Amino acid sequence: MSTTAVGDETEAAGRGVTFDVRTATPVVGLLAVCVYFAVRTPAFLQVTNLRNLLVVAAPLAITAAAMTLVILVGEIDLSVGSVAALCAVAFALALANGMPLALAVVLTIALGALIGAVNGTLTAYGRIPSFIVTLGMFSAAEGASFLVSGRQTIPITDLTFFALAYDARPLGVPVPGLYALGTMLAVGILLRYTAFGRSVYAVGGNPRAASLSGVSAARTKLKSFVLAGSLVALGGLAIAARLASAKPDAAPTLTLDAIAAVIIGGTSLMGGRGSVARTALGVALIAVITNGSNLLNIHADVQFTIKGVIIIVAVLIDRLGSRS
Amino acid sequence: MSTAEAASSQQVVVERAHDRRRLADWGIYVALGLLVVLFALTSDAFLSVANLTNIGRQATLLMLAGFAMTFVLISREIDLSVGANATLVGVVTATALHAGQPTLLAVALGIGLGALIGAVNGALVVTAKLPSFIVTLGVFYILQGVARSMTGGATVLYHAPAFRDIFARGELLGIPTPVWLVVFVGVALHLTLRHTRFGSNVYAVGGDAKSSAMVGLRVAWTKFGVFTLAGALMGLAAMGPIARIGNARPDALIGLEFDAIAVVVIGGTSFSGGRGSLPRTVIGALIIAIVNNGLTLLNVPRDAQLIVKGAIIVVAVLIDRWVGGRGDRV
Repeated sequence: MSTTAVGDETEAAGRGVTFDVRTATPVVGLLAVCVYFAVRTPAFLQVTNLRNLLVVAAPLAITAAAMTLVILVGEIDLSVGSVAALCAVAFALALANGMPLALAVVLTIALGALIGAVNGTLTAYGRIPSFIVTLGMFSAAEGASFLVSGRQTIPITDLTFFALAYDARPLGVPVPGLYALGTMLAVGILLRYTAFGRSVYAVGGNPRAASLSGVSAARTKLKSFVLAGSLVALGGLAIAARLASAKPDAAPTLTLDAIAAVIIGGTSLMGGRGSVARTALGVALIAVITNGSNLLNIHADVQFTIKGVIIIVAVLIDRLGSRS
Repeated sequence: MSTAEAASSQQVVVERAHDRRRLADWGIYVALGLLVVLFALTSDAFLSVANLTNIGRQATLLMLAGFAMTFVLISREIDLSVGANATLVGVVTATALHAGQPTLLAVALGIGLGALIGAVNGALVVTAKLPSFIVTLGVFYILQGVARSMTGGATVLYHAPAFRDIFARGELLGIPTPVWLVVFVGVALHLTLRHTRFGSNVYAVGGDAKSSAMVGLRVAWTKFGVFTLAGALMGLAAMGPIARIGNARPDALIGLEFDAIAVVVIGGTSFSGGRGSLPRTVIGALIIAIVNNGLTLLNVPRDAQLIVKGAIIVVAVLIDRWVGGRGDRV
């Protein structure tokens, strides 16, 4: 198979121009739940609620963008939840010790990139399944954040940080939402219009063909993990901004939620097929259901069950669609 | 094709897997031995009977969950719902005991529920041909939601001394009853895996599903059986924790699925299916339990133990890969 063939296939799957079942399911699903909640409660469509929706969804959106990258290249990252928490803790400690805000942000992102580099090196060059590598990293990062924080919640008091990361509302849109959209857009452009993006699809879709056409699978995977690690650090910052503090167990379900968002959007776990735009749909679906259920006073416990059913139904429809 | 031929070709698949393993076989036992010597030299309390009993109790949950995951991984699937399964079974069993149901009935109900959950996983994987990673992730969320809804997030208390004696506090010949239970179940499962048709089918299906189907194996039924068995084992595994603490919490066993995978992988069972063994899973569970116990005796903070655990998982696979010299991937 030539690279052009791989490219054509991924474009058809990635851009969503062709209106197949894979694309239609999350779109129709999202519209359906939006209409349902809008009819059931007038609070849903109010501006304050929509703003809240953006703020709450931002950390998941940023982390899910990272997860999309790793899954597209044919790997998985189980460490994102505890790495995001570790980055947030490191950031809060740096600020608490008087480090300037800009430097703290840069170092936090560098920490995420470094952890991504460790994951990527062990996966791509150590030839250990990423499932195992990142499972180990999940445990290690969790331990590290417990250790450096002393199991305490570390408050963040830097007003400039809140202004820039949480409170600002350019054109009335809360800034966390803009960061999330910006991140997804950037990753989307990277995947679609750059040589690196094409190599991600090629390596994830058909590693052998990719290597025959001169793309280094190992290097592409390493780069993907490093980039994903930096994004996860950003997700950690978004969590810290929202909680005005950092704690080691701030995001217990972030890893599985990110994977769920990617899958619900219709990106294949096997790699090489999918896009960030799809993940955005998955994130939106999860966020809208959580938000609407809260408005309707549906208990958080039941929302777990709803999420599980949606995941299975999404892949079932996807499977039925690809058969026909 | 005759059944004899089918059986012999399965045998070839199994034996070839064994050959490749032989060299790597030693590493894990050496690692366990070194750990024991290390902790025995650095801590006086380590080799005391009380402490060894303690390690045994701690390892039982890991072993039962590890047994379930070993079957699933050998058949080249994965089950992310095992922790949520055991959590829900724990809640249901404790509720039944609280309502005054006899121990036997409550336990049978719990194990039956576990098996049913496993059967649903298996049916979705086999009939709808969905990836088990996604199916069991969805089921994980569903079970968590049901367990939390049932209890309203609260702890379920119960009073059943006989139940607590059987699954946690009792001793027979100086050895805790839960350890006896694991030994009994482990031996039975090992014999099943090594000496029954179902067992060799599990290896064959995981090693090469296409060839297995061609030689007439019932791939679908085998995988369905594996998931159901794994579910029943998690139902049984759920009894220990609730018997030990005397109540059931809807968030008690979060993360157990990943501990189970870690135990199995440290034991050297392959992620790519067709390879693995239960005795090695026992060693994997003992390594994790001994490391946790030994580091605690040496006053290493629990938080640092998590880092050590993460490193052990990766190093174990790294050694396995280098010694075995294979290049297989997920």
